[in-house]
Amino acid sequence: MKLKNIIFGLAALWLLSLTSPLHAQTDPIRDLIDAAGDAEKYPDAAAVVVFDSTNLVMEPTGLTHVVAHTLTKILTPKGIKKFRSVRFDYDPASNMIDVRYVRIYRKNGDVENVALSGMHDLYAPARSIRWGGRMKLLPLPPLEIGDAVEFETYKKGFQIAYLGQPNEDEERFIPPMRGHFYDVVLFGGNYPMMEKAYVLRVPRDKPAQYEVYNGEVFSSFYYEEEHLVYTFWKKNLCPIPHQKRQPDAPDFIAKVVIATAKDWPEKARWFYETNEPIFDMNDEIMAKVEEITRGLRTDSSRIAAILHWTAQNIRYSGITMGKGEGYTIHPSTMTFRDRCGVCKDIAGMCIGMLRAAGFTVYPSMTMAGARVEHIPADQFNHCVVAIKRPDGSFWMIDPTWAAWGWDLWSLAEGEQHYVTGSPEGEDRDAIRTYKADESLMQVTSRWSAKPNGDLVGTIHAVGTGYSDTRLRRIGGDMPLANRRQMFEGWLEDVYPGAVLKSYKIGDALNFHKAIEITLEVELPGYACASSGFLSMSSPGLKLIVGNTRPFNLILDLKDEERKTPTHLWVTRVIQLDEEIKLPSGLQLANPIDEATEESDIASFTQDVSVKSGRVKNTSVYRQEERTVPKDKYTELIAAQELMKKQAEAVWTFRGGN
Amino acid sequence: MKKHFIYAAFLLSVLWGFTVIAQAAEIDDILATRAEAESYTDKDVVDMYRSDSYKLLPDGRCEVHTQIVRFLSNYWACDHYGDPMIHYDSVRQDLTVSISRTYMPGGKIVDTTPNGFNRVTPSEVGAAPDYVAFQDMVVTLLGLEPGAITYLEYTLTDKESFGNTFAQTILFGGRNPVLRQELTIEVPAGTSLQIKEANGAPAAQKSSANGNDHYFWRMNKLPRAWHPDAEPFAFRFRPRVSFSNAVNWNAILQPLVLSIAYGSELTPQMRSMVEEELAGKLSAESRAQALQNYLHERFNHIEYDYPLFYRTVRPAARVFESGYGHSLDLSALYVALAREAGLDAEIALVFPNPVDVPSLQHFAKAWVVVGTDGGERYLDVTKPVGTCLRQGTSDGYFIRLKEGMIYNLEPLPWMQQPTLSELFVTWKLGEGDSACGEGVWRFSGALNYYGKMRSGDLPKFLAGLMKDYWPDVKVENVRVRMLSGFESELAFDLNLPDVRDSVTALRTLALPAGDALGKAFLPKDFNLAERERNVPLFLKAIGEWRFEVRAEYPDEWNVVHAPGNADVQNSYGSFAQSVSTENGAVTTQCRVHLNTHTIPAEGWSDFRKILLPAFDVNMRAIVFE
Repeated sequence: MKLKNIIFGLAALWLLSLTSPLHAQTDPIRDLIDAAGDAEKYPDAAAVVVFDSTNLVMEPTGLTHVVAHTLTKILTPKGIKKFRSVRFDYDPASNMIDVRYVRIYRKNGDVENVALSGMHDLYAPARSIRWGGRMKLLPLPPLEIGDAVEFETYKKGFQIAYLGQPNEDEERFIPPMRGHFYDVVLFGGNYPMMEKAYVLRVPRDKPAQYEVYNGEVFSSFYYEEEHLVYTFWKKNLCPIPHQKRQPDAPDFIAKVVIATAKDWPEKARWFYETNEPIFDMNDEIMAKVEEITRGLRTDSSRIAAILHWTAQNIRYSGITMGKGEGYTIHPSTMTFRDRCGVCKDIAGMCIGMLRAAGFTVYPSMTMAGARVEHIPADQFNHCVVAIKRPDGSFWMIDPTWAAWGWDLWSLAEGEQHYVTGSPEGEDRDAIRTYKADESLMQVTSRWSAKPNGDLVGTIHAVGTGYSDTRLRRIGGDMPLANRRQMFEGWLEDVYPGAVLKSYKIGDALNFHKAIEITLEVELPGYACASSGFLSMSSPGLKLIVGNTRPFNLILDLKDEERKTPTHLWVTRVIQLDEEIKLPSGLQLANPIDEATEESDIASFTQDVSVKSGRVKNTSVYRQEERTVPKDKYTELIAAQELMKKQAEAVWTFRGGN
Repeated sequence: MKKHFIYAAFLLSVLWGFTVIAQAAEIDDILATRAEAESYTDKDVVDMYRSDSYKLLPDGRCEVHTQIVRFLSNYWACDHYGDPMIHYDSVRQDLTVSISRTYMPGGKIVDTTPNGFNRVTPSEVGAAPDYVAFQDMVVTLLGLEPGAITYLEYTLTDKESFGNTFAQTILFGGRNPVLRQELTIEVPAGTSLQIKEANGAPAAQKSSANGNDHYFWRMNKLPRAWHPDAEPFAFRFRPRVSFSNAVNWNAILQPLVLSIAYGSELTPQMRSMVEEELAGKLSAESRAQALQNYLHERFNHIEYDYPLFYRTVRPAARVFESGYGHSLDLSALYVALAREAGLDAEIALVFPNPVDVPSLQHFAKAWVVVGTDGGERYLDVTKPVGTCLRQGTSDGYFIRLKEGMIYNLEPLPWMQQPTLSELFVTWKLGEGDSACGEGVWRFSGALNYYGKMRSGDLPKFLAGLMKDYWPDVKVENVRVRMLSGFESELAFDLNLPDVRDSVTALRTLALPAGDALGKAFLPKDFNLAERERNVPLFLKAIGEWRFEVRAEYPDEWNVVHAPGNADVQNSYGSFAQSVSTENGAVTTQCRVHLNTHTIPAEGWSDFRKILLPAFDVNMRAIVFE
């Protein structure tokens, strides 16, 4: 009896031990999920990435094997919606992806393996560039808050295709710059991350250089028998904020840029050697070059003619050339026939024609809208043209962004880094900073006011630099059939009862002079009128503030607090010169103080006076910086708010009959 | 024998040659109208020829053949028409593009090379694996430059018979002027077909050949008939031809209803979800809302503008498991869950435009009609609880899918019911430079912000509306006085920090102008400054918005300016404003009344006369001294 009790007691104790916390928590993944917290810890997040780890092994050819392992915990119903399926993109011409497993950790402790047989392999969505990209799409079973999704993938190759004519299957996975590796690793994503790690193994004879930007990242470097091992990691990463008009994430999120290439000139030489054979010619192209440069005597005029022809006639639409797509410029003969391509093809067309015209020209890699760092990793999203001058310097032109622009290099690309693919190999360089006065928008507004409140007048706009581009696009890049409606839409912001009597736009394809737009307008009953009393706001300023895009203005910032810089692309000046002839006898009820808000970042000044029966309003908005640091945001907003306020300010006039 | 063979071969080659020549002549005839296309100097694109041909094959499959020949006059046209996209169901249909060609102005002809045909998954369905059979074929036209003519010809053929209705509505004309447009329908002889023409489309020319009945329509020289605010209602004004081989609505809807019923079985997980979500919710209204909330929060609504997309309804269990669906999928799921919860619910198919023949081609959305203690509720389960459904549908139609019924198109229950928006504000001026006020806003019909009224966003929402009138206003102490599915009322306090002009010592109080009160009535992209329209304007609702503002001021003040009385009336509505002054107070009353949903193009000028004074911001102010 006693023995029986002892055995029973021991068995009970043993059973109890199975349910004890010590026994249950032997699964490190489960521990991590539990430690990740819930929506209370991350109030604005739909999910939290528990870990995100990437392991890479580079072969001597440059072919790199990548294993990615991620665990994400669902925090809210929005997270449930987001994770109804998972998608893995790849480009069959240059890389492959194998999804090894997808697992769901239920909040109740169950673990489910998602059957990969449900994976769809499809063409990926695409817009302007259709190079045959594909995606693997796997539906997930219904999730609940507190569940976590884990997956591991194996990928090899590069996103941009290899050029040339590969003989073996693996050749297509070897990167364009054979024998090299480069990467830009962002430490941040759409969700908060508890930990992100990146481990790279390169052959011992392929050391990589790296640098950390925009913040701190832990790192280590050590030797293995066959590899050098670089490890980077960071914990407790905040999600990338999404505020209007912020720069690209690589410009402000902590990142590691790493590359085995020695320097930019090495990469530039490779780029030259890769693309040099592409610039073929035929009689048709030669004839076109002859046609568009006929009678032009100076180099600059011939360059301008070829650039404008390319910019206007090679539309942006990307179709694949097959093997080699992505990093190889399309042959000039192909682009000339197709009359379409992406930036590298448009640049290639321009280069081909300029060479036919006798210039020394090369393609140049650049990054529109973000920095290119010192480390020679591929950080480019755009291709432009570099014309070599006799003194060895380069004249940079951009046929993609020059469409509907007077300038051969768009002023929206100031301070932009580039690397030119010349035989000598060029170092990284940058476009100069453009001053605000180089994109001047001049608006002249002339009115005559009647005692009953009617106004009749004209509005005239002309610009330089990017301001000219904005106006020129009205003339060329908007549907002709909607033109009157468009101008009437402008006037609706001034006064819904406005009458557009006539409009005149210069020739948008005349790149020898600034384009001008003139509107003849009536505003019946615009001013508030009684006997001896008239009040109104500035029609010119209301027009500009109500139609920011054509007048090269950005006024749509609403954040109260800024977590990121504000990227506005162009520095600018908008200047209004307005005169309103008053009915006789009316005077400004009292002088109006000059309205001023000035800083190094932006300013708005307005001077309103009445002399000889005319109201004179001079309003100037200046924006001096292309990218505004977050601690200077309030200075930008102050100038903008004053401009908006003054557009609604009412002037009161009294006297007369 | 050899001689006969040679003779036969010669005859065949001559016949083949004539066929080729005949085809070439046809395109040559079209190309010969280049000068006419070029004469439209104020248009970007001219559709020189458009032909759609619908063929019902004996085995029930359908074949659609399309030809489009276009003149592109400028760079904008080349950019926007250079990559036409063809939607199709890659599992159920074969797509053949037979011609994709550019005739360059200089005479060169460039055909699209193989790399110019690119299949992509539409982004709308890119995260919805059950729908990825729907694909887009993007055809890149090469050699484009201003003055080019493009020619695209393709055929979509069903791989098998869907057993669905052979039905379609074709509109003539559109965004571009059309020189010639043709429609052909071909069916096995004796097939019963309902055909209706409207808006000036001609009657069909009927013929028979090769065992088939042919119907043919042609319209020439159609002007551009397009406006962004009218395009959703193009059915109502462009010439249209509708056809269907369905005898009545039951022929189409019975299979759909049966399919939905068959797929309505719930899984244990679905049952336990219902139990969990509705725990403690006793009234039908609260149960209906809880289910709607659940679907809206956790399910992705997939929309894709292609009629075949809505042809299949997935079983409720599949929709539940996948976590996404189109509006019909989600409505069917809702109905299955609602019935489990003891609610009386059914699907309603909504048609915002007239439907001439039985056809599901252009139903816009599926809703659910659910019975509650307060009466029937119409829910859009893809939207948050309380979303007002009346905007844009108050002259539309629907069909309720009750099993065993005879199905007919009915006007929506709020057809022609007016919407009302009233604002009453009393301002007290004179205490320093500020003004304080009390406001009441009452609204009903298409303007019932039921969801906003119940959310924590209400003060922000109301402040946003009031700031349209008084940009510096502060809105405080917002109280909901009345709240129902049909009408609501808010009360609130207002404060204007500074009505005094800093220099002149005049004090200006603006009066409500613009459409903040009337947003529910006017369509998106509406532009009052346009002097002319060539297409009708379609209002989102009819009814009235009005305000009464009483401004009380100190005795020592004078009124320098006040708006005058006004009265405008015509067949589309009226505007009335009256201003009365008594000791120490100015009261302005204003009313905009809109009679009809549809303003014809020729009535636009009169319609503007009603609205212009309502939008006249600059004149609507009271100035004191």
